[in-house]
Amino acid sequence: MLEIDNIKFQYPEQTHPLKFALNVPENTALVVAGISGSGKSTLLNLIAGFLHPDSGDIRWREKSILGLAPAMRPISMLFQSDNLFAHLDVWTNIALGVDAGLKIDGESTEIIAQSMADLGIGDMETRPIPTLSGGQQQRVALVRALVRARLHAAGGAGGGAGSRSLLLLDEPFSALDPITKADCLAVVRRMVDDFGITAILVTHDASDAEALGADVFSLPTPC
Amino acid sequence: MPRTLAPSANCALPATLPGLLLVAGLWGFLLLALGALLGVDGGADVAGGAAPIATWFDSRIFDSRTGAILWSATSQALLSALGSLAVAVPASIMLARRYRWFGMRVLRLLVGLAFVIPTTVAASGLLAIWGRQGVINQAIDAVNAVVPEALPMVALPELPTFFGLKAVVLAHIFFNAPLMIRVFLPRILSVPDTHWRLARMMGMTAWQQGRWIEFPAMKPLILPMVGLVFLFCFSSFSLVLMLGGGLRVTTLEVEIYSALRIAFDLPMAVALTLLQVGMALGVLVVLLRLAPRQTSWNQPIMTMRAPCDDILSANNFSLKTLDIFMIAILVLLLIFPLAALAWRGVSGDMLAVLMSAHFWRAMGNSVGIAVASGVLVVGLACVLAETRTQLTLRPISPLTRGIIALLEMGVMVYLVVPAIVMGTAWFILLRGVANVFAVAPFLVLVANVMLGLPVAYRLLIGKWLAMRGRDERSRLAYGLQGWNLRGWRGVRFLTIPLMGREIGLIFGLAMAMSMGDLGVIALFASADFTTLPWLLYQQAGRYRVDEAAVTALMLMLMVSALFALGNGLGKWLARPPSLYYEAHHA
Amino acid sequence: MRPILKSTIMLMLAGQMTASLAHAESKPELIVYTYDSFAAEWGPAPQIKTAFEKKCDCQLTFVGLDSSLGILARIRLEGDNSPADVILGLDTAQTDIARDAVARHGVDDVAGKLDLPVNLPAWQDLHFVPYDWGYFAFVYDSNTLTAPPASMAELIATPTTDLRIAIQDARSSTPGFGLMLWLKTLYGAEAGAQWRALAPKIATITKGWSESYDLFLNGEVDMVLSYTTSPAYHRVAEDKTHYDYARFDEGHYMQVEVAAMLKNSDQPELARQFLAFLLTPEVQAIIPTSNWMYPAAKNTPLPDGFEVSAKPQGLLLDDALIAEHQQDWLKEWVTALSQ
Repeated sequence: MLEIDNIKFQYPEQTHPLKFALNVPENTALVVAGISGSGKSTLLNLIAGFLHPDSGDIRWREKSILGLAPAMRPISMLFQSDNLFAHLDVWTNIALGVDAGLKIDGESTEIIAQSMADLGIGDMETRPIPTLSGGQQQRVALVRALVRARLHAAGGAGGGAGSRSLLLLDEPFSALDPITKADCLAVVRRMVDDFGITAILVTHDASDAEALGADVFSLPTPC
Repeated sequence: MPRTLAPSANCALPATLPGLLLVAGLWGFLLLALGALLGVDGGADVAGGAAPIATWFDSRIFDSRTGAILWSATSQALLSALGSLAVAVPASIMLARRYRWFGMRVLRLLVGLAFVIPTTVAASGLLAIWGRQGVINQAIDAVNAVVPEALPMVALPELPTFFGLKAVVLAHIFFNAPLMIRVFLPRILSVPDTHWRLARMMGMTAWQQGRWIEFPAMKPLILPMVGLVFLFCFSSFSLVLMLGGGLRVTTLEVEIYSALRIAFDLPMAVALTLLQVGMALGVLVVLLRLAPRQTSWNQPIMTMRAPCDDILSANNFSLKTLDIFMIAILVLLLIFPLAALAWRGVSGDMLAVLMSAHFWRAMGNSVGIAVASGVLVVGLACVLAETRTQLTLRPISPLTRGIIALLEMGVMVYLVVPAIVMGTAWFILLRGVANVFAVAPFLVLVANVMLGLPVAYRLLIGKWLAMRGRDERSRLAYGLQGWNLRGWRGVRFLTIPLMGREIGLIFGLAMAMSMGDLGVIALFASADFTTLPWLLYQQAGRYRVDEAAVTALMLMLMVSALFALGNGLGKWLARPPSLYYEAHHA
Repeated sequence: MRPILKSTIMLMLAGQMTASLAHAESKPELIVYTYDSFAAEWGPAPQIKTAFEKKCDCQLTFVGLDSSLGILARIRLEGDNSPADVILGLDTAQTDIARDAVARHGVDDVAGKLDLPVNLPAWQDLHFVPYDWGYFAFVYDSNTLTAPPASMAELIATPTTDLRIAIQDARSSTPGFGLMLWLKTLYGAEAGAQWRALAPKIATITKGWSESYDLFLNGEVDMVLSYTTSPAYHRVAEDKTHYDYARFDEGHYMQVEVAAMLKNSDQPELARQFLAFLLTPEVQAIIPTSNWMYPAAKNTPLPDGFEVSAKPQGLLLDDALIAEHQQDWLKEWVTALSQ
C-alpha cells in the first residue's frame, strides 16, 4: 500500500498550498486525472522525492519514505520525453537503471534479456536511441522500470527500499498516436498483472483510465 | 517516387552562393597576400637579397633548429589546449551545477573576461599572482616571517621561478579556458530536465553523472575547441617570448618576424608562414577527423535554462566541497590576475589618462571598430554556418566533402597567419593604390574580423546545423515547398529567436576580441589613428606604467560592457517573436 | 555586405586623394619616416615640426612607423617610389643596410659638432647624421640589489641563483640586437660560449623592450637590459633616485640614432636643411626629456639629475661589419640560447 497522508506542498510563487491525500493498494493501477495546474506532476515528484512536502507523510508498505533520496525510494518514473540518453544504445540505457556505474552481474544480464523479451523489444539491444520511434523509446523506458522492479524484488540492493515496484508515469504517452498509446498502456497493464507492479499514471485524458482498466482519482480544480 | 533529401539545384544555389564566394575570398586573399610577398624583388638597396624560390626548401628552412621550433610550438600548443580543457570541463560542470548560487553571475562574467585582454597585459597580471613578487610569494614570506626561526623545516619554500613552459601553458589556460567554458556551459545547461531527474532516480554519483550526462553534452564540441585553442597557442608570439624564459619555448612567428624585418627575406617569410599554416592545419585535420560525425540535428533542441539545485542533487557535502574547491581554482587562476590588474589600474595615474584627448580618441576608434567588427563577424558567421548546413544536407560526394573542408579550414587559417605577414602583404597590395595610413581603420577592421570569425563560427555551427538542418529536412522531406516561413520571415521567426542567444554571444565576443587585439595596428598606427591596445603599448614603451595600468583597466571595463551588450542583445533577440503588433498596426 | 565594404574603401581612397592634392598646391611637403615614439604627441616630433616650419615655409610631416626595423622594412618595400624624403631613427647597426637608398647629407663638419664618447673615433659617415645617442646598460633597483656586477665578465660569472635578468630578443628588438653586438665586441669568436654562460641568469627574453622593463618594475627580475638614460628618466620625471645602471669596466655598447635623406627625395634642399636643423641647439635641447637619450651635439644643456656620474666608455662596431655578419651572429645567438 502507498499512503499519501495529508501532504501539503506550496510553490514559492503560489498563494495556496496543494493538498493530497490518497491510498494506492499494491499491485493495482491508478489514473490520476486533473486539469493543468491541479498538481498532477507535483504529486508524482513528491512521491519520487524530487520535491519535499511542507507537511504530511508518504508511506510505502507502512514505512515512511520521506527521508530517502530518490534513488533509495521504491520507484521508477517515466517522463513525457527524454527518458533515454540519446548517445547510448538501448541495452546501456536499460542497464543504467540497474547500476549507474554499469556493474552488471550475470543475474542482472539475464533479467534484462528476459524483460526485453517480455515487453517485446528483445532484438533491439544495440539500436541507437535516435533510430527508435517515440513509442519504442517509451517501451524501452518501461523495460528499464520492469528490470528495476524485478532486480530488487528480493529487497537487497535497494538499500532498504525493497522492491522498486512503484511505477510513476508522468504523461509519458500523451504525445503518441492513439494506436501506439493503446499499445503502451497495454504494456503497463501487463506489468501490473504479471510482474507485481503498482502503477500511477498521471494524465489529462480521462479515457486513459478505460484503456488501462484502472480506477480514476480526480484532483480538484485549483482555486 | 520517394522524395529524396537532396535539394534541387536551383533552390540550393542561392543559399550557398554567398558562403562559397566568402570561402573562395578567404583562400583567394591568403594566396594573393603570400603571392604579393613573393612578388617583391626586394628593391635595389637590399644587402644580400631574397633567395630564389627554388631554394626555399633548402637547409636554411629545414635545419635542425626549425624542427626544434616546430616541436616546441606544437607540444606547447597541445599542452596548452589540453590544459585549458582540463580546467574548462570540470569548471563548466561546476558552473552549471551551481548556476543559481550566490555570486555565480559575477563569476561567470569575470571568467569570460580573461579571454579578451591583451596578452602582455594578462601576462603581467599572472605575474602579479605567481611571480617572484607576486601575491603567493608575499603570502609565503608573511607566513615565514611568523614561523619561529628555531623551526626552519617549517618554513615554506618560495615558488619556483615562473618563467618557462609552465608559465606559457598557464597563461594560455588563463586565456582559453574561459573561451571553452563559454562554449561548454550552454551545452550542459541545455540538457533536458528529465535527464537530471533520471540521474537522481538512478542514484548516479557526481562522477557517473559527469560520465553519462555532462561529458556527453560537451563531447561534440571538445575536439573542435581543442583545435581552436591549439591554433591560438600555436601562433602566440609576444606571450610565449615574454614568459618562455629563453629560446627553448618558442614559436615560428619570431622567425617569420626576423625574416621580414631583419633579413628582409620575403620568400623565407612566406615559406615559414606556409610551414606554420601547414603544420597547424595538419593538426587540425587530425583533431577534426577524430571528432564524432556531426549528428546533432537528431538531438532535441532545447532552449538554454538553468536546472534548479534540487534536481541536480547538488546538496551533498562532498559535492559542495568539491565545487568550492573548483571555484577556488577558478578564482586563483582566472580572477586573481584580473583583480591584480584592476587594482593596479585603480591605483594608477587615473587622472592623467582620463584627461587625455589621445585616450578618448583611441577609445572611440576601438569601440567603433569593435562594433563594426561585431556586426561583420555575426553576418559572415551566419552566412558560413548556413552554407555549411546546406552542404551537409546535400548528398555526400567527394566534392561537397572537399568544399566543407575548405570552408572549415578557410575560417581557421587566418589564426595562424602572423599579423606582420598580413600587414606587410596589405602594404604591398595597397602601395600605389592608396595611402595605407588612410585605410588603416579598414585594415584593422578586416584583421579583427578574421580573428573573431573562427571563434564565432565554432560557437554557431553546432546549433545552427541542428536548427536549420531540422527545418530544411522537414521542408524537404515533407515537401513544404510553399512554407511561408522562408526568406526574411524565416529569419525573423525561426532563425533569430532560436539563435538569438548565440548571435548575441558571438556579437559580444567579437566586439570584445576586437577591442583587445593589437594585431596589425602596430604597422598602421599613426598620430591620426590609434586604438586602445596600441595606446597601451605606447604608454608601456615610454615608462608610463601607471598610465598603462589605467588604460588596461579601462579596456577591461569597456570589454565587459561590450560583452554585456552582446548578451543583452542576445536575450532581446531570443524573445518570442509575435506578429500581434504588426497585425494591429496594419 | 561586399558592396558596402567596397564603397567604404572607395570613399576612403577618394578622401585620401583629395587630401594629398590639397597639400600639393600649397607648400612643399617634407615627409620624414620615423619610429612611433619619436612621432607621437609626447615625442620630440611635434616640437621639431613647429620649430622647423617657422623657418622653412614648408610642411613637415612625420610618419611614425612601428619601430626602426619598420622604417627599414618600409623603405625597402617602397624602393625607389618611396614618398619619404628623410628617414630618422635608424641606428648604426642598420645604417649600412640602408646606405644604398640614401644620399650624402652634405651637412658641414658633423664630427666637430658631435659630443660622442671620447674613446670613439670621429664621426666620418657621409650619409647619416646622428641626432642622439645612448648606451645600452643593465638597469637595477638599488633598494633590492646592493652589489651589481661591475663588468660584463662579472655578470657572466655570477652564480645563477644570485641574479635574474630580463633581456630582449635580438631578432625583434633594438636593445636585444645591441646586447648581441655588445658581447660580440667584447668576446669575438667566444661570444657564443659567453652567451651560454650567461643563459642561466636570463629569466626571460621578451619580444620588445617594454615587456622586460615592465617585468623589472614589477620586481620579477633584478636587472633589465635597457639604457643608461633609464635611471635618468626616473630621476628627472619621477623623482625616484633608487634606479641605477650597472657600470661595466669593459665599456657599454652604444646606440647612435641617425637621420638621412633618401636618394629619390623630391625635396633634397629641404631635406638637407632638415638634417642640419637636427643638430641645432633648438632641436637638441628637446631630445633629453622627450626621447630620453643623450643629445648628439656639444654644449647641449641637460636637465638637473639627467647625468649624475661621468659617462662610461662607449663601444661601437663598424656598420659594414654588422651588415655583413648579422645573419651569422643572430644564428650563433639563437643557437647558444636554445641549448
